[in-house]
Amino acid sequence: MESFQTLDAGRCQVHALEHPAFRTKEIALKLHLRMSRDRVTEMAMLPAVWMNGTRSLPNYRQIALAADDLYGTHLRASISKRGGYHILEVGASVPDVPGEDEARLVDRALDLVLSLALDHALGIGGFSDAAVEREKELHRRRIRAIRDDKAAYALQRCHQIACRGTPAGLPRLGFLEDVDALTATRLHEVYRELLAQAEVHAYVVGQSSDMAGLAERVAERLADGLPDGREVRAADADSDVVAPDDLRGIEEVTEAENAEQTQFDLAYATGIGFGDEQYPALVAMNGVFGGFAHSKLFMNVRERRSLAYSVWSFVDAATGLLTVYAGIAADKREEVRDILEAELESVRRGEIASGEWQETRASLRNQYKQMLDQPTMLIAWHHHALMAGSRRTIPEMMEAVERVRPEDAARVAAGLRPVCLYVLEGRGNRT
Amino acid sequence: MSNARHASLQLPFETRTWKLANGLVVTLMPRPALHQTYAMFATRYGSVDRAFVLDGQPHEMPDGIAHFLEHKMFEDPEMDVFARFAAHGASVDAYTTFDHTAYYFSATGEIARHVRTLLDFVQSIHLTDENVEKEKGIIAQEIHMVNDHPDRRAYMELLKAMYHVHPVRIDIAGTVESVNAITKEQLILCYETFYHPSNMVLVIAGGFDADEIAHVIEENQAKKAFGEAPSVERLYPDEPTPPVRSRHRVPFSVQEPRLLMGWKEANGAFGSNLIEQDMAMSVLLDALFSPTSAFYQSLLDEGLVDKGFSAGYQLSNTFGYTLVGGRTPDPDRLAERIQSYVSRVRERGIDGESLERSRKKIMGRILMSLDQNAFLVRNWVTYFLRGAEAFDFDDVIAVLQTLTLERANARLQEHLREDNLVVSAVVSS
Repeated sequence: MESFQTLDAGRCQVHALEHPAFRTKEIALKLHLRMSRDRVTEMAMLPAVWMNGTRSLPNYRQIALAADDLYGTHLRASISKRGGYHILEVGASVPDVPGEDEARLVDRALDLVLSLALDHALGIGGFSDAAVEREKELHRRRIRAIRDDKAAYALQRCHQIACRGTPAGLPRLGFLEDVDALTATRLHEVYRELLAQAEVHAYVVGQSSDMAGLAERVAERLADGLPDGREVRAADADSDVVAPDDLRGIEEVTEAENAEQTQFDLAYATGIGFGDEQYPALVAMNGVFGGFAHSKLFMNVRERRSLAYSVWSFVDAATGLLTVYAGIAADKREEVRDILEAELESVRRGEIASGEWQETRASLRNQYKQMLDQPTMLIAWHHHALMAGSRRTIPEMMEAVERVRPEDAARVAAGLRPVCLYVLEGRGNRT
Repeated sequence: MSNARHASLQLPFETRTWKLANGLVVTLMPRPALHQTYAMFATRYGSVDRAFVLDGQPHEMPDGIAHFLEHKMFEDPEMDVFARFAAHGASVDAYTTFDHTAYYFSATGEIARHVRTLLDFVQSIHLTDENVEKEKGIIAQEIHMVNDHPDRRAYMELLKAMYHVHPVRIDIAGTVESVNAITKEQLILCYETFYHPSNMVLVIAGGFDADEIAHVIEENQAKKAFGEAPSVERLYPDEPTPPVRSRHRVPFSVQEPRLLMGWKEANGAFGSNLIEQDMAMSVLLDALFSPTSAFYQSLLDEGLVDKGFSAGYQLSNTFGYTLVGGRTPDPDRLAERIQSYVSRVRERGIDGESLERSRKKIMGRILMSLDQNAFLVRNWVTYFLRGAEAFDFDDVIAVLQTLTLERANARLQEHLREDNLVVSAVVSS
């Protein structure tokens, strides 16, 4: 089955996967580093700053023109977070066009990706004073706009509270109050810190007659563009897994919102992260509890009691938080809570019917197998595993899930401790 | 580099389309190199089909009934439908649009079994007064969820300002009140009217054996009796050509205002005309509003938009519109800039260079989309249900390759006018 070939080039690693089924080539450059309060906002702005212009392509339009000339190559720069790590990514999806010289198209896309991350100077393109001032305003708006997506906002608040005081508790986009003081000089300084300190991984997935050659070219160009820095490898990765501490107790926070619906998020600490032995059991337990449309929560909160349209539980592999989400009417909060606690108790007692167990295992198998058809998912999985200091591949995860027994899931459930209930209370009808 | 107009394209799979004795049209796209199979069973019945004449008898249904019916198809007295798919590793879901309702699964094995389950659950209905009542609370929460979303709200508010009487102005899910008025008898009537196989299509793409699946479908359908296709006339009110109003402003609990500008088509379109017009508009809108236009860069420089600013086009059998907009600190100023830009470009038209750039880009995007079974199937279903009976991806590519500058500019003249334009803003309350 599919596996990445890794080229270790010291400062960075290049991971290549030849995949004959795809007509799209995926190129991704991922830089990750620990989040810290003193530069979280600057770091969060960098991908957007890069998109505003490089030394050779001084504005967004020039970048878009270059991408469109490569048959609409889809070019992106993004900021994401995983636990207490920021991931800055530049990526491109490049089509295979009949009659076109494939290597030439890919090499040009590669140049574009690398220049977006590496070809910058203070005072030019995205790091010019004018572009930075505009980007500051956009960043303020991005931070404020989080609140417009009520479900995403509520989940973010819940996790921030659950991880308070640790890097994982820092918001992905940083803080509004930081933005005013930022300058092009300061952003460029943080940019240089990123290049010097981040762990760097590049990915190439797709059809290619010479994947190994392509990987080498990526490594060479990265070596040219990156300053020499300390090599950071997963072995020294910090863990963001929240401990299920019996002394901690649950924190309950309710905030009011002018909305029709109430967002309910209850986070449990499991103490189990992606790299842990118990992780497959946690994933299976979550599947039975609230991970699928056949799960206990979906059947009992939605189908039997009509209390919600959306009700799910899901696991964050970096923090090990298992969170139950439901969109409900404000006055149903206690009823929903009672049901989910009762359902969790039943999982803890091992009350998992053979049908439920079979459905969950088959659904998980399907979910993982489908990822094998999606280049971006293959890349994301590989990278997340690296970050967690684990070598577990998707096929290995599928095998591990097969070996989980219902009593393993019950044991994992027994270890869950609620750490935060966050409720964004809608008033029912708009005023 | 070769010109996108002359690139020869070989689709990476074959498609097989045929019509069964009961009228159901089936399309298979076998792709052995992929693990996933994505199957969709869809009916030409959506939220706008709220009034119809059946066997000479007129009927008018409460708003949201097509979507309500979609929810109730998952009711089964023997075993939960989600669990039935899950037990063999498939995930199932459905959605309702203005003009169709679609049920789909995604799986990586036991495809024959899942195809049978899909056909069986959609081709039987199990309603009781009790299970109809139970659904109302779930749908009410779905409506609240959608109402709380500013982008969705901006979109629906625009359609309300655009259409006087066409039911595209009504939310697909209806309102809490209209949903509460829906009865079991009405649901059954709509089911019998619109779920006859002759009104439906089954499309499957992915890693399966085409001969085996074709046989499974034939066998499954031959065992069922559906009777004659009902004689149905769909009733759509006469919609005046101009929009209801040219300016619309909605106060909402929102951090950042939204602007949406919409140009209304006087008519819908069918089949190959619809595909041609759809592609012409895709290219035209890309040339006018994509990030490669100087106009887009000037809006960014002025701080009027962020990179979420976009343009899109919808064309159905009975309605159509262009939407342009996004988040902005100053909806009035942005609207003014877009209006004056469009009227300026109308004087001279878009140029050949922009057209070629957009054509090339859209070509690449179509090629990349072929990697996604779900995208392939959804596109096929949408075009087919809108009358492209002999639809083929090669046709879309051919349309794109032969589109002329004159045609794109003719569309600019006839569609992006002042008198069919609605400017709608969602602003902080």
